[in-house]
Amino acid sequence: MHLKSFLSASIIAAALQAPMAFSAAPAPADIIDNYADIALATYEDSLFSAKNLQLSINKLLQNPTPATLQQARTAWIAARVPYQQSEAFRFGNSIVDDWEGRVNAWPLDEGLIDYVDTGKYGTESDENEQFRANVIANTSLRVGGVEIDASKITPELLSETLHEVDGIEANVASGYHAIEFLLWGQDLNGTNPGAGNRPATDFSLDNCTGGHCDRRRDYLQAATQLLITDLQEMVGNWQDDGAARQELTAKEDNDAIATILTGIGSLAYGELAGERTKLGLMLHDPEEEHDCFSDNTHWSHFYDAKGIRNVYQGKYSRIDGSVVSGPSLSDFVAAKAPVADQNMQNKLVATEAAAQTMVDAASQGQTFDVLIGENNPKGNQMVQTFVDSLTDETQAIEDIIAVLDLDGVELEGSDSLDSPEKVME
Amino acid sequence: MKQASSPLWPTLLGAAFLLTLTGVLHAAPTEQQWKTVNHALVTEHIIPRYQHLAESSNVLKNSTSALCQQPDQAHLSAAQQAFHRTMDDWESVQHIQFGPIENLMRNFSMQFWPDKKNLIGKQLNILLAEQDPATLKTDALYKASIGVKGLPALERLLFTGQLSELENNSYRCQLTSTIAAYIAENSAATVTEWQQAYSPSVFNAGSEDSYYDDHQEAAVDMLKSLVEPVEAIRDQKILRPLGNGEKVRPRRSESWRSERSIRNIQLNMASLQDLYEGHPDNVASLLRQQGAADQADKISGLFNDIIAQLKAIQGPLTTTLYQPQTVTQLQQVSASLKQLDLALNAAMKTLDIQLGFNSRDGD
Repeated sequence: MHLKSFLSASIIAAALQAPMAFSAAPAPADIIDNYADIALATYEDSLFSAKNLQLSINKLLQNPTPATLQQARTAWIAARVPYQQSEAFRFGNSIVDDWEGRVNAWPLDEGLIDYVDTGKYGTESDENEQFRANVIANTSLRVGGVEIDASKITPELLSETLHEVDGIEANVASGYHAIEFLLWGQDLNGTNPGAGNRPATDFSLDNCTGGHCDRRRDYLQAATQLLITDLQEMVGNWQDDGAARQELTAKEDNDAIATILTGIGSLAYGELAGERTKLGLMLHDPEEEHDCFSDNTHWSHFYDAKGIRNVYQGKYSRIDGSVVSGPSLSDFVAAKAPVADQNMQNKLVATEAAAQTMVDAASQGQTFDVLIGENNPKGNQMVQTFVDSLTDETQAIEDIIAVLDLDGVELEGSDSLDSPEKVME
Repeated sequence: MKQASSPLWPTLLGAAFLLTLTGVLHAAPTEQQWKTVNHALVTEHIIPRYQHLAESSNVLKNSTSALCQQPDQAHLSAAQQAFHRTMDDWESVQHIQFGPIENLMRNFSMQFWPDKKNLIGKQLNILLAEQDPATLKTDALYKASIGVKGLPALERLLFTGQLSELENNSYRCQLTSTIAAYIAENSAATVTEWQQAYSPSVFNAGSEDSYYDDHQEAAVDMLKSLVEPVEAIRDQKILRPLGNGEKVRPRRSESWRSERSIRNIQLNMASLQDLYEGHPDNVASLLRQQGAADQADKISGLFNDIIAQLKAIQGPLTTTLYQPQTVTQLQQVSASLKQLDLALNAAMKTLDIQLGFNSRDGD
């Protein structure tokens, strides 16, 4: 705690002493317009790449071969690139946060959806009676004594009945990770190298493996269609008359700036550093990685961090190579407190470097689940460095909140991170 | 926020922290007053509790080891009793989440709960299937998952399964006794570090060697330990098992396998009350010195109410939670805890304490 107050105090002091020759700060309204434009572009790109994923999945289902399965997996990984960058808009914008669970809920009890290896997965859960419901194999479910008809697998069944069935968040029936599980299957390699290895024949009508291939195909199609519908809804929310944009522009200037900072600070700290990274490091569990079936977590983390940078710097490179940019939060902070801005810029660079280190390690076979393994101290340290860089970045965001005198901003935290400065050696 | 739920006690569930600059209110307790209260809490409240935990976990270590040598019903019962005594002592100090218990993630290692993803069961099953002899050393557990080296893992091993699974010095029995030994080591190290390093740091707040800039800052850690668990207990130990109104979920209760969920809460509340007013120089007396005797009395009354309400509840929740009467009783406790939370937060204002980092705001 004294670290925080010391940093804040020194930055305030530096800001007060700095010469008053900065360029004028952009108007908050212009920053917000550009922020919303970047949100729109990011969700449009997410939708576009989800449609590409759907095309690849259609080809897989027409002709399930290792090659078409690989193409579908490649399309899923590409679809994650814009989506992960959009996560910087989640916290702070309640319309996004309320919707997010439909498209990117994690972690999940995948036994709800399909067959699992119980040796790795377990046979029962204190929390979840539907832990091994296996909807693909079963045309009906019993939930709290009530029979649920699952004979037809449709987008509506997934979204209205199965998703969070029985009030359990781990019952994730839809979204990127449900699709990921269907494309890859469980990763049975523990914290050793290797991702999920579902055979293409799991989707074959002639040569079916894994059983119930017709229902698995229906599930994959339904989940993909639902993802597209959900992304379309979010694109609409950020168009000129969209609800999310309207909600933000209706806010007082300071509230709107606070929303932007809440979004990036909460993603950096509680969600990315805490839930998705530090917790995995403490549990050393191969399923405690965000993209646990595909082992694509390094890229998902990289693009989460990049999304934070996009928002702060007011600049997004679209998947077609074009750029959306305009007046930014960085410009605003630089005009009022250049030291705080420079500090944040430095931390963004450091985080990207730490994420890049994990991406490089993954290309050498050390994917995130390998890095967090209990007998991999070097890998553990690499992941810890990413956590530390995000914690430092959060500190820089706190300092910005302090120098801008924004009251009552709340950042999403995480128990796995609280008060690290008091840990004795 | 739903998806960000954290499975860790005690500052769990979609945590967030407040970022507000410290503002000076009216006449606050002096540094000397904080120093006196901090000293009393460390010597009379915190260290004795960790000493008890170190003692009972050492007994647990010995009794699990005896169980493996002589796996009969009498030795199993003795080990289970030793587990209960260790849990009693842990639940009595669970609210202290700063200082040496944070070192090497001991707090998470002692108890990873709630386990929403069944990770403990899954990871234990893998260990039991692999039967790697290297795991049967406490040194190996230091780098193992927090899921397999704490009290919840031990509870599963001691309270589920058959006695026969512990016979012939089985791997399962040896793992049980290794985890117990690890818990004993951690508990002993925690009390030693409090005695040798951390308590001087609290006593000498403001000095160069201290973790604290002043006595008030050290008091903030003490007071967080008083205030924050109230909401955590309500949310995690009462409201989650009560469910969303459609159906109750007894397996979300803490320690349901050893059938001590209510007892845990009783011990938690007794400890919080002890922190609040159990010793001559205490938080309640500071409130009175600030002219807020009404606030002090209200908090005291709420503690008494809650402890009485808890006493009336029949266990184990694995069966009694299905009775409407138990649900009503727990709802009453929940309402009282809410009142207590509000009263304690108001008291912090009176004492000019900003808890900051309220890791549960925003739920």
